[in-house]
Amino acid sequence: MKVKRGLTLFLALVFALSVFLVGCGSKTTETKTDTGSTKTNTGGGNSSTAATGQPLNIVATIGGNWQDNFNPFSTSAMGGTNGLIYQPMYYLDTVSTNEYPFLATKYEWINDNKTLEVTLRDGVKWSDGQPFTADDVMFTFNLLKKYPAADTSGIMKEVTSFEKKSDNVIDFNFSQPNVPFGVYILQQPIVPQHIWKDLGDPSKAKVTNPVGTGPYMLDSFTPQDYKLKKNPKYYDADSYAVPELNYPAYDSNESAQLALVKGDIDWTGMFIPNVDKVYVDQDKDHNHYWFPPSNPVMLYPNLKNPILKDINVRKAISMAIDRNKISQQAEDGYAQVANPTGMLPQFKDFIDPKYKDAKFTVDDAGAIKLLQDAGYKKGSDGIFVSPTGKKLSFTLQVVSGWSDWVTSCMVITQDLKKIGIQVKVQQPQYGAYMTTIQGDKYDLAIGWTNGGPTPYKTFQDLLNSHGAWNIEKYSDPATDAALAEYQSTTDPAKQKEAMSKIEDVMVNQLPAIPLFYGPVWFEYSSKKYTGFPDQSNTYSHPSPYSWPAPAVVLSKLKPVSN
Amino acid sequence: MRYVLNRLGFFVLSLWAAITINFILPRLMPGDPADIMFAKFKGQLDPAAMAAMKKAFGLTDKPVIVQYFEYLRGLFIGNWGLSFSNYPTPVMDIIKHSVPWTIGLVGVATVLAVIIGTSAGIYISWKRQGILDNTLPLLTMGIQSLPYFWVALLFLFVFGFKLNWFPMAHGYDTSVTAGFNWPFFSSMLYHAFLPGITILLGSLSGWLVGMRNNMINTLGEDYVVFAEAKGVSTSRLMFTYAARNAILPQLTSFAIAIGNVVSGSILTEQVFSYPGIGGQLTNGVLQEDFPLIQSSFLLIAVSVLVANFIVDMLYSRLDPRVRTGGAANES
Repeated sequence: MKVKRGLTLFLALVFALSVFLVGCGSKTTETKTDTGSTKTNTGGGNSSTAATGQPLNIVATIGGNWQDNFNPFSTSAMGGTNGLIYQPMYYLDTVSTNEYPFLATKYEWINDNKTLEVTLRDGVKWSDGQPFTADDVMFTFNLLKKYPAADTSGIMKEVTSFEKKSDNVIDFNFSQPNVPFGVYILQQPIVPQHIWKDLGDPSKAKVTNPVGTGPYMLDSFTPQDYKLKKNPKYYDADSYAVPELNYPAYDSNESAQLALVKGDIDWTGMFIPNVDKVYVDQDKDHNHYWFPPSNPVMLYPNLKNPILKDINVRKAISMAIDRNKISQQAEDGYAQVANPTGMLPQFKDFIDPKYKDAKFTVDDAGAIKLLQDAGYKKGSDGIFVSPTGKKLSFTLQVVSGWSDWVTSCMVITQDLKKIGIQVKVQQPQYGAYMTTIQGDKYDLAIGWTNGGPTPYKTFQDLLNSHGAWNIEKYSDPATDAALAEYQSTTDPAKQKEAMSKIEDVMVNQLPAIPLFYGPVWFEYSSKKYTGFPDQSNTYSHPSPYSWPAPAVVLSKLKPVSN
Repeated sequence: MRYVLNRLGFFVLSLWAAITINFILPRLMPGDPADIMFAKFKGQLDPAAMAAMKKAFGLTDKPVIVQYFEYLRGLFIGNWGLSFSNYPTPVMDIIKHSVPWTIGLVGVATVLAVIIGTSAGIYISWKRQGILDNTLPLLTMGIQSLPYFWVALLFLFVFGFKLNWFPMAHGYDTSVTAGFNWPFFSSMLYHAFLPGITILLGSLSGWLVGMRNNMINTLGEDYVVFAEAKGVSTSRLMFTYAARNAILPQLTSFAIAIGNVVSGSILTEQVFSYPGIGGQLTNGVLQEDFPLIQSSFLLIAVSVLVANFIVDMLYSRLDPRVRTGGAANES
């Protein structure tokens, strides 16, 4: 009997311990109220702004529990920190190419385009009631200067000095003109001096009670859900109809997708296979999506490789790839096939008229002929051999688990095999992939390009010999000069002229081989609010994850009256 | 006493080994976590910023032995480093917020599976060839043979999405205030039901079939037959004579199961977006968050070791032979 009792006791203990630990856990997830005196209002019935509408449930990112950190300098800050709580001076949208003023009302390039002069908005208050001043802006940029780890855009590499010219005008001085770089200064979230002066290194600070100038402020936080509510002190509070934003945490695409279809989520940005059937058909009147192109996806050749350095080989590869097949099979038809210039459709004004109707076409016979004319000969196994006796056999790097790109690689492998080029797909982890492609220890790789409010960013990073994303190791003084020309002027005609030189390089040199445009993921329900961007009204980047764009979208939403 | 010291010594030694391997392994991996972070910034970061970041991540050029002792010291004072993916949140915070949920969910489900499975095993072994004995083992084995995350997805779809009986995500409803109050507690149980039942069903068969077979073996032993012939009461025969001996192998399995609580539910938690450590660990692996991975693995290793130690101790109470190394005549 004693033994039985002992065992029962043990099991009871384990059980009690688990219950106790759960209890402990719940204590740490207690709801927090913010600095203001208003109480948490989850019912949405009687808060001061409730008359305007219902709360909006938003899933911006998928992946585990939330961590209580609203530090705009941190790369892992909770969504909404940048744009909804803290604001930049300006936001330059990458999808619509519109410019939205926030803490500034005007910016101008003076002093031969070597000085960016920003005029700040009057009458702005921090959410704790203190006035926002030019000193806050000066303080923020001084933080970046003092703590390089917080300067993730590398602003202080370009800006030599900055000064307060008057109570609401600040000048940022450059050593040489760099007009497109202005976006990083304009989009830097500004923090309040009166609070941040005591926080030390901003890259290490943990901010749980954020005080910002934005339209929303933190209402409550738990690891599985946080809520933002309207900031009554916001200078343009009337433009924001949504009284409360709710961000539940989801661990997997599956559960988030089911919740979306069920109507638990109003606004999200995730990949959904067969979205028309899975989402739209469930509620045709309210469920919508729009996947605008955001950045060109490329097949990168390593130009340090003597065979891939031969333009004939790159051209043959490009001619053999069936981009429509990639778009249909790998991207569910969501991704648009790229223009040979690699220029995004939203920048069509930059496209040189001679490339306006240019298109990639599959031409296997032409590709084979091109290789033969260049002195390549097919071996007994059907694979081409270079004049120096090297087989045209390459590795192709893709991040493991990025299934649409992995499928794209399979299509490329088949297409190239048809013309006698052998490709072996390798799928390393993200970190190993980055090390491999950045250390030019690869032959071919599929990868993204960086997007920006103008085409400059993509091509500066991709083609400049010191470009930040020049993983193919392209180097050409004329291209560098064209990019320098672009960055030294604010004149659109001169910028277009410089850009057409870049387009010539892209089309004739194929330093990287454009495949398709990576889509923005964006699904929404118009049950509670209307006014989301769509293909007929492309006013902003629509996804809820591309900060600070949601601040623009939220300002346009109107409640559905019922 | 010698046995206890012996076990304790083994426990400490294996704990040290686990901690040390945990220190060495990430350092053998290719690629520097700071480089991975650096790559994320796509070249916009100054080399000076990278040096600052390495410092912040604790990636110093100090001799390995110094790093090792700093790591040991950090473990004991609760400084487990800062998470890379949720920088600058300490790993300890992430673990503190998620582990209780996992222990609550998987722990309770495991204990329930043991209790239900073991009692049912005893029962059906007694009513051998009865209707339950013919159906239960087959039925539970059928469920167990399905991949458990698939069962989880199926339950989520049927009971959460289609029938709308249970919530589809999270540990409790976001409209209730967390704390010691009934609305929170009931919401927590309601949310735990689907993931809990998935784990329970997935592990029931092992306990049930194991106990049944042990019991049948034990019931055939001479001493049980003799006791039965002597007229010992049924319940005494069942529990004191048969079950006491039959339960020993179950206990070993229980130690392993408890040790696997932290790691065992990764996919279930992910499917139900449950706020436990499983989802955190998956994200940590995907984002190469070494401090988080390291700490989670250490946690798993330690829980396995502790559970084994406890069961070793318990075993020696239940079966005196382990204490005396097989000399059966001590007690």
